[in-house]
Amino acid sequence: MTRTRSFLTLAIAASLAACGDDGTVTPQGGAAFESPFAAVSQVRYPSMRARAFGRTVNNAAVVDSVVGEVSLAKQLDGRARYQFYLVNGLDGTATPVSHRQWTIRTDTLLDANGDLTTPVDTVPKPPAAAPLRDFWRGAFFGQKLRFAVTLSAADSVQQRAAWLVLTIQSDTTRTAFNDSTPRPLFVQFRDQKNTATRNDDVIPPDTLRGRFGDFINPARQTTFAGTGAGSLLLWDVAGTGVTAMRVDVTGLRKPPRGYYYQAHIIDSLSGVAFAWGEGRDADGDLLGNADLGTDSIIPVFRAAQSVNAVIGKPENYSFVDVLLEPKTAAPALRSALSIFSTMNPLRARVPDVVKAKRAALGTLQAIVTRGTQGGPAARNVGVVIQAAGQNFSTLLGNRNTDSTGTATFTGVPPGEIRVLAIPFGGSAVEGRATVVTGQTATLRLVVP
Amino acid sequence: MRNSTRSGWLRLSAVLALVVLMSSALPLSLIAQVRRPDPVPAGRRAAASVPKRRSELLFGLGNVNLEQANGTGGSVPLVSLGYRRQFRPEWLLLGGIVEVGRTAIDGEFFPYERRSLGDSSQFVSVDGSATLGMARLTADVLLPIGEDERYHAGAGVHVGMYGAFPSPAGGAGAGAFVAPTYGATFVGRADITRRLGAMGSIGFVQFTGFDRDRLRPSDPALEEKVFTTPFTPPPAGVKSFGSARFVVGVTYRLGVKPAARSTR
Repeated sequence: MTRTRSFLTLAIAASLAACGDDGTVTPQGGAAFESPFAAVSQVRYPSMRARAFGRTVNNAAVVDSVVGEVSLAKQLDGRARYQFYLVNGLDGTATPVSHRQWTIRTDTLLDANGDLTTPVDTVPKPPAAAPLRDFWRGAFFGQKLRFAVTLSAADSVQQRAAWLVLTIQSDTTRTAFNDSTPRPLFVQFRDQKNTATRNDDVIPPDTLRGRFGDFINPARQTTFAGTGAGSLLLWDVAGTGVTAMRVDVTGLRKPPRGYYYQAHIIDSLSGVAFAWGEGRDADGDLLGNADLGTDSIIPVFRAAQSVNAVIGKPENYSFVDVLLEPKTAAPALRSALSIFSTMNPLRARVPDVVKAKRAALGTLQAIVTRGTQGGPAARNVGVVIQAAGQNFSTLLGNRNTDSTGTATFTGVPPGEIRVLAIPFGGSAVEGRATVVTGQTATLRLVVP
Repeated sequence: MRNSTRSGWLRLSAVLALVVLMSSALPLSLIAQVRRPDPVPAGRRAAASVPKRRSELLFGLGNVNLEQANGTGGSVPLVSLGYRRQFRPEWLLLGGIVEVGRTAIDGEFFPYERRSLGDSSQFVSVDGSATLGMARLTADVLLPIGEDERYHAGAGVHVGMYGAFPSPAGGAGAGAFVAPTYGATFVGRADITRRLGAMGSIGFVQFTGFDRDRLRPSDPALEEKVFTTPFTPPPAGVKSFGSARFVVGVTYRLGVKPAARSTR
C-alpha cells in the first residue's frame, strides 16, 4: 500500500510538471510573398554575325577578311577588354588579331506622325576606321560593334584559321588564351574538313551566326541555354514595408567562363535595377567562380538581401531576374543601375498584391515652342520620353503636342527622364526632366 | 501543421518513465524501513543510547538557475522529493532526491517557421516549454547542534542525471535528452515534532551536456532555408554551466512510533 502511494505521488508530481503544449506562436514582421522563377523564353544573349570574304588561290580557299557585328556585349570595367582570336581548327593554335571597328547606335523612336523611326548612327563613318590595335571595351546595349578582321596571307595560322573567337581579357597588356580565358562568342568561318590539305576547305558564302557559350577547342564547344527553377521571397521583416529578399533556385546551368549569376530587382517602368545578394550554394559557399567548376549544373543557388533602405520597397519594382553578368563588369551591389546585363535566364514577377501598393507616379509636361523660349507654340510635334534604364533607352511613351504646344504624360516613374521633341522633317531636340512622386514636372523645349 | 511527436502525452509518458526508473531504488529501502521500526526509546537518555538508523522523507520547494543563453528561463521553480537514511557513523546520511521543474523556451533562439497564410505566408517564432527532471544520489553529513539535538547542520554532495523534455519538440533532431549533473550543498534541519522537521539547503549544481538544439520548438520542415532567422543571431548555447540551487521543505521521519502509544 505504501509502495503504491509512493509511486502515485511521484506520478502526480511528474504529470503536473510535464503537461505538454503545442507552443505559443508569435508573428514576426509583416507578410511574406513568394513568387516562382520561370525560364525566360527569349533571353537576349550576346550575339555575333559574321561573313568571310575570300578567294581561291591554287585551288585552295583563302580568306581575306571576316566582317560582322557583335551585339549585346556588355561594356567591361577598368582594364578588361574584348579581344578577337583566330583559332586553327586542326591544332587549336590561337592567335590574337586586331580589327577595324565601328559602333552603331540604333534608336527606336516615334516621329511626329506616330510612326516608328529607327535612326542609325555609325561612328566613325565607314570606311574611315583605322585598325584597332588595342582591345574593345564593349558598348551600351543600344550599340553594336561592326568589325572587320583582315587576314594576312603570310601567316600560316591565319591561312588555316577556321574559328573567330571573341575572348574577354582582364589585362590589356598581356593577352592570354588559356583554360581560364573566357571565350563566350565564336563562329566558324572555314570548314577545314579536318585535313591539313587546304584544297578541300570550304568557305561558306552566307552570313554566319555565331554562338554564345564556351569555346573549349575546335572540337568542343557548348552553347549556353538557361535552365533552373525556384522561388523568390519578399518578406516585410519589421512590418514597415521595407523588405528582405531571397532567391532559392535549383538546377542552374553552369555559366560560361568569365560569367556568374547575380540577382537583380528591376523596375520595368524606369528600367532601373539594383543588384543584391551574393550567390551561394547550400553550404553557404560563394558561387562567384562556378564557371570554373566541373559540374554542368549548379544544384543550389541562393541569395539573400536583408532589409535595405536603399533598394527600398518591392512595390516599386516589376520583377527579379537572375542575370548572367561578366565578372569583369560586375555590377555594384545595392546601387541604382541603369546598365546591367540583358541575359536573364530566370525571372520571378513581383506579386500584383505587392505592386498594388506602389506610390503615386508623377506627371511630365513638355511645352514645345518654335524658334525661342516664349515663341509660338509648336503644334503636332512628336514628344518621346525615355527613362534611365539601359542608358536612357527605356521607352515610356510618346505623344504629339496639342494646339498649345503641350504634351502631357501621366504615370511617369520618379527620377530623371530623357525627353525628345521631334518636329516633322526636323532634327530631334533633347532635354532632361526630373519627375517627383505625385507632382508634375514641366520641361520647355525649343524646336527650329 | 503539428507533428504527432509533439504530443504532450508522449512527453508525459517519457517523464513518468524516467521518474519511475530513477527513483525505483528508493521505495524499496523505504518500505523495508517502515516494516522494521526502531525501538521506541523510553526517554531522552534512553533514546541517546539507541543506535540511530532512521530514515526520512523530504518534500521541498526550491529553485535552480539555468543558463539563459540556452533559450530557457533563468530561474526554474522545483518540486523536490527525497529520501535519506542514517548510516554508521550516524551523522552520515545517504539517499536520493528527485526534482521536477518547468521552464519556458524562448522561440527567438530558434529558426522561425514560415506558415502559409492565403496567398502570402507569415514568419512566426514558436515558444515552448521544457520539463526538467533530476534524480540524484546524495551523501550528507549532518551534525547535531546543541544538547537536545533538535537542530542539525552540515553539508553534502550529490551526483545524478537530469533530463529535459521539451514541448513541443520541433520535428527531427529535437526531443528529450538526459545528461549528468552534480553539485554540493549546505544543509540545515530542525525537528518540529518527533516525526516532522523543517529543512533547507543551498548550494551549487553543475549541469553538463546541455543540448539547446534539442529543445527546439519550431519545426525544421517549415524553416526558411535561405534567410537565417532571426536576423539577429542568438548567443551561442552553453553546454556546461553552474547554477545556484536552494530548497526548503519538510522532513518526515520514518519508523518512529508515537511516544504516547509506546510508553504509556
